[in-house]
Formats: sequence, structure tokens, C-alpha cells
Amino acid sequence: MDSLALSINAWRKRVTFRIGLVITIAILLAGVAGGLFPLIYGWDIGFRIVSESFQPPSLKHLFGTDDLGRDMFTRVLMGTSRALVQTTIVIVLSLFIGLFVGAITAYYKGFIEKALSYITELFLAIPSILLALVFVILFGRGALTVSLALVASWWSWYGRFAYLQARAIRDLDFIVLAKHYGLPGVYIILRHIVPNIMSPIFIQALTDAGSVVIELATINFLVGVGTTSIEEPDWGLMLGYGVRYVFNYWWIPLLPGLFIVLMALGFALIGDSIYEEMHPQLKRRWRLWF
Amino acid sequence: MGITLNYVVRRIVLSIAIILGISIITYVFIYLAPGDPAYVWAGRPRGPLASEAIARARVELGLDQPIYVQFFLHVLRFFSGNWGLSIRFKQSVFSLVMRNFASTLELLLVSFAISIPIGLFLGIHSSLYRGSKIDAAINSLSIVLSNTPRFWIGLAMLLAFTSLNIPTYGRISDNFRGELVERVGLYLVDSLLQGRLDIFLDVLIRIIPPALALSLYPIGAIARVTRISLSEALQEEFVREAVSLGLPRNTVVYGYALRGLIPSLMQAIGLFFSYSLIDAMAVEYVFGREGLGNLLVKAIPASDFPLVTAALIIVAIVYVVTNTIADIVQALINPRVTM
Amino acid sequence: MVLEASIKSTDLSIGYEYDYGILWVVNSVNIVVWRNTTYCIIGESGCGKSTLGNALAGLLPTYAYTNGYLEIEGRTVVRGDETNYNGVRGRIVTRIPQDPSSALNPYATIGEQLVKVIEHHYGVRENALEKARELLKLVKLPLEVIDYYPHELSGGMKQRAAIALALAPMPKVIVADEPTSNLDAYLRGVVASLLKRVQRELNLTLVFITHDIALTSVICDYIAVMYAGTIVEEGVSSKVLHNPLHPYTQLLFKAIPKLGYRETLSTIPGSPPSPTSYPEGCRFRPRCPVGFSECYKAPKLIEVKPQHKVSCWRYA
Ligand SMILES: Nc1ncnc2c1ncn2[C@@H]1O[C@H](COP(=O)(O)OP(=O)(O)OP(=O)(O)O)[C@@H](O)[C@H]1O
Ligand SMILES: [Mg+2]
Repeated sequence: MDSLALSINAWRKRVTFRIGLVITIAILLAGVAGGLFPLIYGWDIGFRIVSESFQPPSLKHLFGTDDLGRDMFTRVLMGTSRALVQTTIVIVLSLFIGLFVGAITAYYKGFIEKALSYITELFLAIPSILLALVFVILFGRGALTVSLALVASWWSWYGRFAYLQARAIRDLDFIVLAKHYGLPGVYIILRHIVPNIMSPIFIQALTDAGSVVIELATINFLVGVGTTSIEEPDWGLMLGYGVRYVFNYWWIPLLPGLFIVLMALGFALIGDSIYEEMHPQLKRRWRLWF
Repeated sequence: MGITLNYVVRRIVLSIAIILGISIITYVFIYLAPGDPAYVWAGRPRGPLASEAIARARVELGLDQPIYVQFFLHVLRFFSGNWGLSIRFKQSVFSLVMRNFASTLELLLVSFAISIPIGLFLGIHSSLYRGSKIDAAINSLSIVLSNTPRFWIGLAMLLAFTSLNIPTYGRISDNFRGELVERVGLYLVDSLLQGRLDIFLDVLIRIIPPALALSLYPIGAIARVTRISLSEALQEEFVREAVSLGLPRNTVVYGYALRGLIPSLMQAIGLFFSYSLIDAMAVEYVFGREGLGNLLVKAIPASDFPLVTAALIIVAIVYVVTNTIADIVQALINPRVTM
Repeated sequence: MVLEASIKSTDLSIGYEYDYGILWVVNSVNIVVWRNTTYCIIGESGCGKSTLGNALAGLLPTYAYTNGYLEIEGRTVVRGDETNYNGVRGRIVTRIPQDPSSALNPYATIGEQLVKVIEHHYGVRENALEKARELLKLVKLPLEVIDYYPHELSGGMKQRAAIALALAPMPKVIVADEPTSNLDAYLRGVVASLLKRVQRELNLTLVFITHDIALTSVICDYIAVMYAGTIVEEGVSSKVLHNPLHPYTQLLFKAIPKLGYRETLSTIPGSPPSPTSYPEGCRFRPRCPVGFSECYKAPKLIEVKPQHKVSCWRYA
């Protein structure tokens, strides 16, 4: 079934899908706002000292102000666009790499299959957080470093998924025939294998987006606690840096977390409803019949 | 049985190959990083002693040797447990990581002891009453649970417990720290071995809040996989056959449908376990518990490369070994050995 | 002998939920199955035999919708869309599956499976083991099978094990859904006669669903012919077999070679309609060689000869 029809069905029948979509749109708007802020108010908008330090949340400063007197809400909005970009990079790149590596692994039987599945297993075993910390040490902290570290570990997850899917179809007639006609492997992989294994992996990626958001935040949190000052308006860094104030100025480490929850939840709700729509066994009537 | 033995051997060889591969990857990183490898290995030193530290690192890495000798030396050092010195702590990274890993592992184990039964319970009931209000509630709950940052909830919990005057900060109260004899490294076990119930209770009270925060993700995730796979299993022919024979509901659900799911659930739980490591480190830091998280937080500002890579390798080894054991156990208990 | 009804359905309809709505695949079935008899249901693939059989055994999937009434041994199990098989499954009716390799529990030995069922219905363990052995003897399986896992059995043995399992709760009614279709010609006869023997010895009511018309003459007391979700002909087996009334039945019987006869093989022209597009009126009309104007109205199943019912306007 095509994805548009799926989404329309999900929208009609599932409250969770509607809630998820509303949340996601809200987060996207916040991200756009956060991205536009510097263009409208000047590049230093996130760093400007607007008030006294440690102001509790008020109408003027929705999320209060931090230790330097910067407006937290502005910085959280800017963090939203950062998080959106980072999540997109991680998901798109790892999906892309995983899909192709998986398809290639399944297509070429023999040595290539063995070698590539070994490499996939290898990267699956490497804990993403520690890989990210190694990257931070090697290349310095920064949005791109952490994102690439996550790509380096997440691709293997899709790689294995794609491999299992592709292995299930590689001996079907249309692929065997295509091979028999002497079509080049690249062509078969691109035209026949990848399109046929994509959709469940895309759905999986949509659900995973929530985990990626949280993982990014967690890694940056750990990086953030060790630093003596933060410039970047990054959710994780803000929370990590703010931990030292938790007992006196709770809003500094706690309020930005709301945005992480919303963003993760939005993706997960959408992914979950589509997953159920795709599985007829899950969406038809069920009652405890025995 | 012959097939099984063959399988076991193959599986073990593969896992050794993977561990070796990981150690090589981390080694390659040193060369990928901008700047002189010796400089990176030495933790980007500055100041008067820098050149001396870099020279020492050069010898340690064998940088003056040809590349294949370097590689050989590296593998040799890896298997002899000589993984280098921590820049920040000036100790062997191997023992440093092992000691702190025990604490992280203890936290993870307690949190999974909490989350496996709860997750299974929620998943089973959500699946049995699928489509009902109960299911909607459980399913939404598990989505929310598995999409809330655990360290953030932990922080909120810490704030709440502290304002209620319940001691949750730290792994063990300072009074007991000197009295506990570490044997296994897991304080819950050590205190019991020592026969000290008071220490045990103190450790237990301190471990429960972080373990609860940590269990949010596995509870939600286990509930969700159980719900989906049980829903499918309940439609299977042999389960329907059990129903047609008039067996009671509990027998059908637990004895037939779930029994077939044990291998795949075990695999999923293993995945959640290794995924939870990242949360464990953050939650641990929040609650001021020693462990990998706390260790690495200090290692990052010091660019303690040997320490972080050692942690990476050890955690990966634990992952590979548990996975291998799980696979082998699975192959042994499944009567339909298809390998 | 006074005949007592074991199964009685009144206007029973069954449908499955699809994305576009409910697809009714069994329509207004009225049947009576007498105690201690063998009742065969025959018909082409997809006409709803298994669906009806599953309704009898209480094994319809949860997304199946029902209408009408179904009574089994005096208990109303289907009333409208309500179903209640509590206490009926096992004790009163069990099913012999079409494919025993997917129906036997792959994680337990045959003995464990038998004992579990016997224990649940009739108590203590030692007796249960004894009983399991008796059952194996009854279906002519060697006793060591008790310690075998299903994957260690051959196809014929699996089917016997499945029969033993279905007999274990000592039911009054057994629904056998094409129990022989996965077996070769030799085993087919063996298993069918085994079932017949068991039915007689244990005084069971057996509902036997099959494609195989040759088998029906051997084991059936009554035959019902299904076409496109309806019963088109029903009656004592000798009458139906030797004097089929419905044009569909006549064509169906011609389509199979009879032993000893060398009639020309003919097939029924056209193909059975799909449940999404059952024709108006008599559902066989588009393929019927002898249809006439009346056939645009739906015929009723009526008794045109003693113990022989047919649903065709030619006999109305
Ligand atoms: N579980 C199900 N879900 C949805 N539709 C079903 C299901 N089982 C059967 N059907 C549909 O119901 C119709 C009747 O199927 P049924 O299995 O009862 O036929 P049958 O007479 O047993 O055929 P066969 O001789 O091939 O076993 C078919 O069109 C089939 O597609
Ligand atoms: Mg059938």
C-alpha cells in the first residue's frame, strides 16, 4: 500500500497519529522560528544578556534566564532547529548507508556477503555513546562530530535490517531473472532490491527518530557536564551544563527537557500508528476469544 | 549434537574476530584524528612536559617501527591486557574501566530486574486486550515512557527525593564506604556476602531511584515488542490448536504462545540492555554514583583517549559475549535446530 | 433409533473483516447434524468449508463476524455477532487440523502435549500417561512416539498424532478439516478409515470436510455440498452420491473419474465466483447449463425427497 493512503488511513482512524502530527508540526514551527531568530534579531540573539541571571520562568522569560542572564526560551528554540538538523542528518545518512550496504550484502553471495555481514556485526557491537565520546575527543565537540558518530553506529542497525529483508527476496524470480539476463548488479540493487525493501525500514527509521533525538541529547549532556561554559544553544549541552544548578534554579536543567520529550514523542507516535496501519493483523478486530 | 557443537565453535570464533576488529578500529582512530598520533595518544598535552609525554607515547605506540610491526604490537598489547595508562588518572585504563563498569552493570541489572517483569506484564495484557481502552492506555504509556529522556526524569527524581530528605545521591553512604569489602564489585552482592544488612539496605535505597529512571525505556520497549509479537503468535496455528483442545487461557498464553517467543524476546531485551548503557552513564552521573559515566565525564575534558577507547572496547566485549551466550543457549533449547 | 441433533445452525452467516468492509463468505446456512454420524462437507476451493468448520470448532479468527444461530450439543455458541464457546471447546468439540506440522506445538513432545490436555480435562498424572498410551494405540502409533518432538515425525505420523490429540479431551464432536489433503493416496485411505473406525468405536459425531469425493462414499453418512458460501444440496450420502439433484453436484461428480467407470472427464465451465461478487439469485446461475428465468431469485434449501434437500428452482 502506498504511504499516502497509509497516512490518510492513520489520520482518520488513530488519535495517536493526529496528536503525533500536531506535536511534530509544532516542533517544526519552533525549529523554523529558532532558525530565523538570528536572521531577524541579529546573530548574537542566543547569547545576548537580556536580564539578570537566574530569573525564574515568567511571562517575559518563559523558561527563565540562565547563569549569564540569557533568555532560555530563545536558546531552546534555537536548539530545536539544531536538533532537527542533527536528527535529520543522522537518520538520513544512516538509512542511506544501511540500505545500500544491506542490499549489497544480500545480493553478492559468498565472500562479500560474509565480509560485509561481519563488518555490520562489528559496528553493531560498538556502543554508540562511547564512539561519540571518542569522536568528541578526536575532533572536538560540535554538532557535526556527534551526528557523524551516531551515523557511524546507527547505520549498522539499518544495515542488518536491510540485509535480512533483502535476503528474503533475493531468490525471487524477478531478481534471479534479472541476473540471468545479465543486468549489472548495481542496476538490480538500485531498481529491484532497494525499492522492495525500503518501506518497513523507513517506518522503523521514523520511530527511531525519537531515540536519535534522545541519544543526541544524552551524549551532549555528558559532554556538557564537564565544560566550564557553553556557547552553543544545544539542548543536551544546556541540560548538562545546567545540572550544577538543579537544587537552586531547577528550571535551568529541567525546562529544556520538555522540548526533547515533545520532539521524540511526535516522531514515535506517527511511526507507531503507521506501523499498526501496515500490519493488518494488528488493526483488525480483536477480542479475547478463548 | 554434532551440528550444535560446530555451531558453537563457529559462533565463538566469530565473536573473537569481532572483538579483534573493534580493537583495530579504535587503533585506526588514532591515525584518523587531525595531528600527530603520538600527540593524540598523549592527550594533546601542553606546557613544559608536553614534548616528553609525546616522545613517550611515540615509543609506546611503536611509531618508529614499520606499520605492520605497529599493528602486531598493538594486537599483542591488546591480548596481554596492557591497554595503556589513563591520562587523567595516571592508572591502568583496564583496571580503571573494569572497576567502574561493575557499578554501571549493577545499576543496569537492577533496572532490568524491575523492567522485565513490568514490561512483560504490560505487553501481555495490552496484547490480550488489544483494541480496548486498557490496550490504548498501555500502548500510549509505553510510547511516552520509551521517548522520555531518562537522565532528565532522573534529574527530576533526584530533586524530588532530595527535597523529601531521602538520601539518593551517591552509591553508598560515606559512613559505610570504608566498611564494605569489595569482592564482586556489585555492592548489593558484596554487602550480603559480608552479612551486613544495613549496608545492603543503604545501597538498595540509593540504587532504586536511578534504576527506576533507567527502567522507563526498557519497560516501554519490552511492552511494545511483547504486545506486537504476542499478538502475532496468538494467531498461530498451534496456538489455535491448543485453544481448540479446550486448554485454559493461561496455559495457552504462557505455555504455548509466549514459550515460542522466548528466543526473540531474549534477543530484543539484550538489544535494549546494550542500548540502555548510554542512559545508565547519564543517570549515574545525575545521581552522583561512581561508574563509567562519571569516569568518562572526567575523561573528556582531559582528552583521555586511552581511557575512552578502553571503555568502548570493554563494553563491546560484554555485548559480544552476552550475545554469543544467548545465541548458543537459544540453539540448545530450541528443539527445531535449524542451523 | 431416535436421531438427536448434535449440531444445528439457523441462518448462520460468517464474514471476515477487510479494509473495505465485511466480506460475507458463508451465507444463511441451515444444517442439522445428527449424533453419532459422519457428516461430510464438500465443495470447490474457497467456497467456505473451512470457515464453516472453524465456526463449529470455535476457531474463527477474532475479525470474523457472524450472524444467525449455531447450537452444538444443546449449547448456543453463536447468537448474532456474539460467540461463546466456553466449555464447548475440547470437552464437546475439537478439530483435526489440515496441516498437523504447523498445528502441533513444536516446543513439546507428543507425550507432553497429550498429557497436558488429558490432565487439564481429567485429573491426575499417572492416569494421564496411561491414557496417552491408549490414545497412541488407538491411532496405531508406536509407543515410543511419546518422546518425539513433532519435527521428528513423518507426515502420516504427525496426522495420527494430531488425531490422538483431538481425541484426548474425549469430545462428542470432531471437526476434521481436510485431514487427508497433505497425505499421499495410500495414507489418505488409511487415515480416513481410521477416523471412521474411531467415530464408530467412540460414538462420535464427525464433521468431515474434504475435496475428495471418492473418500466420502467410504466414510460419510450424510453429505452437504457447498457452493459459494451456501449449501446447495444435502442428504443421506447414498442418495446424494447416486442421485445428485443439483446441477452443480451433477457436474462436480462428473468431473471426477470413478473407479471402474471410464466416463469422459469433464470440468465445470467457468470458475467459482469470488465472495466479493456473488451473483444475484442462485449463485450457480452464471455457470449453470440448465438455468432459466426463475434463477434470478434466490432458491431455498428444501426437502424434495425423503432425507434429501436441494436448493434449486427446478425442484421447487
Ligand atoms: N482468515 C481469513 N481471513 C480473511 N479471509 C479469509 C480467511 N479465511 C478464509 N477467508 C476467505 O474466505 C473464503 C472462504 O475460505 P475457506 O478457507 O473457508 O474456503 P475453503 O472452502 O476451506 O477452501 P479450501 O478448500 O481451499 O480449503 C475465501 O474467499 C477466503 O479468501
Ligand atoms: Mg479449507
